[in-house]
Amino acid sequence: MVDEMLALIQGKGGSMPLENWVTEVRAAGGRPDLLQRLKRQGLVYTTRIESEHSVIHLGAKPVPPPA
Amino acid sequence: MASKHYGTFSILDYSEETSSWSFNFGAITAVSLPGFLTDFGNLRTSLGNLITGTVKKEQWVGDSTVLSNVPPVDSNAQVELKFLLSYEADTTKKVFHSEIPTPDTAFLIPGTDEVDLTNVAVADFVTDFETIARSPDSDIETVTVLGMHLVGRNN
Repeated sequence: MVDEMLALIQGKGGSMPLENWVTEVRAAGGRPDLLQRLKRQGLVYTTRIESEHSVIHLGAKPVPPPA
Repeated sequence: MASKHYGTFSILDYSEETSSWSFNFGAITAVSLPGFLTDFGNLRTSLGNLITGTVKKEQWVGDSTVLSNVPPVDSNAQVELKFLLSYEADTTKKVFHSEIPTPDTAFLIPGTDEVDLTNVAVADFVTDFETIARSPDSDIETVTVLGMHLVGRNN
């Protein structure tokens, strides 16, 4: 399940709208907490531009720049 | 002792009671300020979508702005109800909790008191929170949301 869901993002170039990805997870019978579990493992992260919905990306969350 | 930087949103409920939700974030510099303001605005918007109350006021270090004094029309918007937000620091894995007043119960998974983190509005809030929030113990340590639940409190 996890590999399939990660491959789905890979197939979209490494990023895809979170809403679409969640739809695929639900269709595949995935649990609602899958996204946060993948985030905690550093496998994916999400970003958002104002007025647009979240996008899911492959990879670990970028390290914030130093102050 | 590490520097502390925190923001607070004050939330007005149906009976015109106020409750606050606070969180920590990283240091703000001249370079990071524009991005911070965008992230802070995003979080305000997505928080407003997550709850039934009115986001009355916001503040962070050096800023205090009254946003609205108009009470919500939803009689279920009560500060005695909260979303209990659980999140962990990404490096230390230490778990923290924070309470958001006037939760919108429409975001609960049916038959549970658990918030559906895959709902678009909830997912946007989580994204915005994880973008701006830092561990209460370290202003450079990012955090990841573990979950949200509906809880009740006697204020």
